[in-house]
Amino acid sequence: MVYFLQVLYAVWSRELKRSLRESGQLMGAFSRPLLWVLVFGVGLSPFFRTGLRETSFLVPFTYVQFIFPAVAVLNIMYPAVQAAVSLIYDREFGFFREVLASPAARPAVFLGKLLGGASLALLQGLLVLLLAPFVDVPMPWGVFLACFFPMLLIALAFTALGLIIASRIQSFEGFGVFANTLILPVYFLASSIFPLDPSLTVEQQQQIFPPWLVFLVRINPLTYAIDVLRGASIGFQQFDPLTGWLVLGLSTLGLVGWAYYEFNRR
Amino acid sequence: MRSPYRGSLLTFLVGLALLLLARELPPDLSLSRVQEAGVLRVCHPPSLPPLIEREGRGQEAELARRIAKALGVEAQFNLQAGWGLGQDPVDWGLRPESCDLLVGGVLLGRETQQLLSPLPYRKSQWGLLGQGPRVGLLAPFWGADRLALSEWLEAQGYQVEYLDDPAGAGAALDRGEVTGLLTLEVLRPALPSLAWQPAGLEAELAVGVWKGRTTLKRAVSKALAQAAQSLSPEVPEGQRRRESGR
Repeated sequence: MVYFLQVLYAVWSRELKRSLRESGQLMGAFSRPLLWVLVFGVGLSPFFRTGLRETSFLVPFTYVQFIFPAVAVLNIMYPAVQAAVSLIYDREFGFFREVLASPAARPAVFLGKLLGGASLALLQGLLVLLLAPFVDVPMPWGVFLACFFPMLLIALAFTALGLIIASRIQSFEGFGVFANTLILPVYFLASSIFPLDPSLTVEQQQQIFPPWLVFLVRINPLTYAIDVLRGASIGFQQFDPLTGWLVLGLSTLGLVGWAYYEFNRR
Repeated sequence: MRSPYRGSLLTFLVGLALLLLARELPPDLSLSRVQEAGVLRVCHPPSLPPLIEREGRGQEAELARRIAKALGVEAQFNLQAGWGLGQDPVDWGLRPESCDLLVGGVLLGRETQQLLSPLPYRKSQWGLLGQGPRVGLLAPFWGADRLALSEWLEAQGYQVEYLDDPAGAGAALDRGEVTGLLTLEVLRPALPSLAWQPAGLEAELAVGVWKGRTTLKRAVSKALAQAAQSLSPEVPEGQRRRESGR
């Protein structure tokens, strides 16, 4: 057991050290929240609600508050998926051959990689919470902890997703293209930048938004993950909280299981 | 030897400084607009004594004046004739363009939080003035849960009548149309002197700022914490500090 933990720790700290040496990744961690919250959020806020007579949706938040949890998730998604690039790197340069030929248990190596990527992603997601006073979202310890757990699950899920992609793709270039092609549509189709009116039924929503859009948003597991985080941070959820936690928990479990299967296959 | 983490550490420090600086940026111009205009436009319903009356009289009008003074501007009272006409606030004709602050029986609650940032300043108890069996529900407050209140009255076995304003409610009592009133304790000075029995239900009176006007909300919240101290000794200090910190 001690050896298992030693291997886990060694792989985890290697992941952390390698990422922390790359200042480029850190730049993204700071520039994303600054751009999304300060420019996008503040810029669009006046158009989200204009007044009592013109209001279509009466909602207990401002636009910048609405996108705030989604920006935290975006700041988790990028580094989480990006962390898996190390798998290709390690495969390419023979590190994994040596590790896997050693007596180190595969589950420990896998967990080290998963937790290493998820830790970095989680830290970058938490950086966004520093902007909470700017968007007028109170962040006492209770709210912080309520945000921490869904963020941790999201970080684990996307690191696992990155590992799945990295296991199936051979080149760095292919990984980058595939990761971006996946991240952006999944993010934009997660009710991250616009709300579906929670007071409407699916049929009513389809009279406002095109049915295909409502369908894609509702089948996207990230929709529910962001919704859980929104509930924790601004006290607003579009969907049933239990459904949100179930989808988030099961998706994380499924992706981690799949990632382990892919990792073990090699 | 140069540390491999030097570049990342520098990036981290610069990024962190930028994030912390960004926190201090004003997210909107609502406060500076009020200060440039030199007036705080205070919207209020036609009459809800003793909280608000015509020509800027009443307790909440005084509160609004103190808030305006703390912001360094004058309070300008803007009577909203449609406020309270009908159950749906969307039909009241309130316009963000004409109001900076909304006062006059605004309660902290789900309904008011949909459109406003209600800033609570005082707690008050719902109670029964007079007695059953015919009780008038006098809840001319924005954000009052009338359904819950009428259910409470029905659960007590009372017959419920709906009343809109303190003057009408007083007259209904005088004429014997109702034998009691369920209302907030703050309205008692404007009503006949009858026995008062607390119902065990509480409400928080608030002033409202339109949602999204963050800089104005922060300034009003700060001003309110000072101004409300002299108006409502029953609000615990810790709570007031917590609310003003939001």
